[in-house]
Amino acid sequence: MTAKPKLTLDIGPMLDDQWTGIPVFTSRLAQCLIRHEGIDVEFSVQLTRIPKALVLSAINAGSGTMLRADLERASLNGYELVDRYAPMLFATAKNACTIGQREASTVHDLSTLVMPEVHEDANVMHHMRHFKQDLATDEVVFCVSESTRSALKLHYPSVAGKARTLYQYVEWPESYAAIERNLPELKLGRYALVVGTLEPRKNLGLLIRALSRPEVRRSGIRFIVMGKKGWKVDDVLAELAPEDASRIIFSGFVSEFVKYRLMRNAEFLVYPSIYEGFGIPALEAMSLGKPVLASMTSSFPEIIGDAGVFFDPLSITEFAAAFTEMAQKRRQAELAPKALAVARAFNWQRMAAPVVEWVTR
Amino acid sequence: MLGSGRTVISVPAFDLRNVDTTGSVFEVEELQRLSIPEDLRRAVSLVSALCKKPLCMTRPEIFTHGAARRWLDDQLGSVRNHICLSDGSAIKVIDGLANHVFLFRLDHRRNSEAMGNLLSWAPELFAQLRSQINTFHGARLGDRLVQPPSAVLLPKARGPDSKPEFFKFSPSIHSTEESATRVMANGQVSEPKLQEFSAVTYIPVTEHSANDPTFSKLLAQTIAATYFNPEHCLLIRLPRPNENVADLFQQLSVTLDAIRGSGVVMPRIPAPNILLSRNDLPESFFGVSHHHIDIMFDSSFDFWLYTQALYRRLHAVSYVPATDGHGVKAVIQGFSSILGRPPAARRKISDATPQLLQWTRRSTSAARNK
Repeated sequence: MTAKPKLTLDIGPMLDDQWTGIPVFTSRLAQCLIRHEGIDVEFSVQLTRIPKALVLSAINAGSGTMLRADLERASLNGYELVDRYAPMLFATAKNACTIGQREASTVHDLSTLVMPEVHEDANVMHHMRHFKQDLATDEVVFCVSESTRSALKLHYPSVAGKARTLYQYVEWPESYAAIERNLPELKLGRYALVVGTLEPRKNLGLLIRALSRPEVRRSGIRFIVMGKKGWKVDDVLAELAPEDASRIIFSGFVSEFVKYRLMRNAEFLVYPSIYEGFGIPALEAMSLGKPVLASMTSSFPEIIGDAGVFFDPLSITEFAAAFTEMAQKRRQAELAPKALAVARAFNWQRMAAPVVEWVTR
Repeated sequence: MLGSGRTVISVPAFDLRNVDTTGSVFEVEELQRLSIPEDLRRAVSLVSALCKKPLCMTRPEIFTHGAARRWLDDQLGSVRNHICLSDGSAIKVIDGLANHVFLFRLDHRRNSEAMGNLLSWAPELFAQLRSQINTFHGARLGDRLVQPPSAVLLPKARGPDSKPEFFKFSPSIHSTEESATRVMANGQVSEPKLQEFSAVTYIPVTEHSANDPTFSKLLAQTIAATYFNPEHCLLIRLPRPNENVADLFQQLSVTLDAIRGSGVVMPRIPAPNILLSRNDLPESFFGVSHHHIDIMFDSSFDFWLYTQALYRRLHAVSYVPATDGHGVKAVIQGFSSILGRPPAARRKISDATPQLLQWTRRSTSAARNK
């Protein structure tokens, strides 16, 4: 029997305590590559091989806390270096790694380059200082959407020939549906969900200003904003008028199950971000049959397709009009099957395919 | 510079963070009605004069692909040109349009450093630009120097006049803080009568140039020389290190630190013929007929605040090129076109830096007889 081609996947982002965009992407990538029978996948953190059991345990927990603690406790004694001759895939930037014979990294978005003002300076420096070199030394550059790939090609034309799209997918644990059925009904009234770390790119200011629009007020729909507090948002939150405070709830970071439950019971997802590389909450909502009210920018039309209603993220008038359309139950019912169909098109086989194609070529 | 078709002017999103626009794309008139920084307003007016019915937008970078891009194309209609007004932190390009960049506000050190990083992180982006307006930058792309052609654009009419505030230069050997405190304690002084001096030199210092050892040394040497020439008046515009608040103590500290840090020996007494100005000197201040006014600045000064008519009246323009020396040829072309003559001198400042470029007007008989 011939040995399967090997791949080492760097799972550094999974060491985060609270998994949001990139850690979630990394865990899905790990899962789909484990499932794929065409390659033999190993895992690493900083060029050090990590036992598969630890990675699976972190995936089950949905957090990197225990994985990180395990690694710190072990001081990595007895762990091995990665096989530098096997292709090495980084789920995000590879930070000037030039050890592997064949390397690939993943670009999620170009926000630190094109809109640095929404980031902390240290974050911009962290993402950008090796970026050009990383692109130059990658055999393949994976982009999480066509939108990101287009932006990459526009800003770095020399990379166009090796940029590939790597779409992620959503899969809820099977137990969630059963647990949810056995819980008492949520009594939150009509609400729409907003998901994401609170930071300037999420454009919460638009939502807060829109609360005072008569059509938004009349709908009786409240907003539940789910996500940890990030950076540079205090000014935006200060804009919230006291009379509107009861119509927007900030839940903070919640567990995967709570997110699932709130999504399942929401009427729709609101995604006012000005820019996203992919927008995983949109796919999560659609996988539960929820349509998305989203900005007409970046990856949203590509990922949401005809399961959404779109608006100019810098126009409160357009937002209010789109919201009014989406608030109609009949419109939501029209879009729900489309949402499920769109979500089904993003699956684990589709995510694994471009990686396997690269490894085996 | 601009071919056929309309033009869209993109403005830094940071400058619009506290105002509401009707959308991502809007008319220039709408922008001019909003509360926006004065330098942005002037930059928009300057480039708008180039275009027929220009549009404005913010964040072109979010409409790069698919339906979002088609939506933008619908908004832009017959637009064929894009002028990106940039504070140096990001340069936006729109695929398929002729892209131009107008970098302004590089007097802030933070912005000029960000621009330096940007050119090093994404030189391919810079290579796509059809032109750069009022700058002369270059970037290394492998072994190649990428330098979009520079276009010089000055206002036709004088800008609105603001009343300058002057302070007397009063150094202290003890500390920058003591110097700044002393200048402030002496209070504002009256406007100098330029006609009482045989020559006037104006040096607009920026936060960037104050942190450039070459510029700081030239500044300090000019100050020291002016002490010994009471017929000469030296006007120093203080930098604006803070984007929002012009804090005089901070403005003074940045300048006095630069002078002190240069190591140039300086008299200890106040100099009545050396004045510090908090703001840009308005064009009207320089008068019409004064025969001998010089100006010295570096690449970070927004020289486009003044008209060509003013530059042509000046006795000399001295330009301290960027230390990388990339843009010297373009600087010479640009300023020679403004001044209507080639540089008269290229003076070596130090071994490590490019030459100081000087455009000097031929002396008039009146000046010679003075």
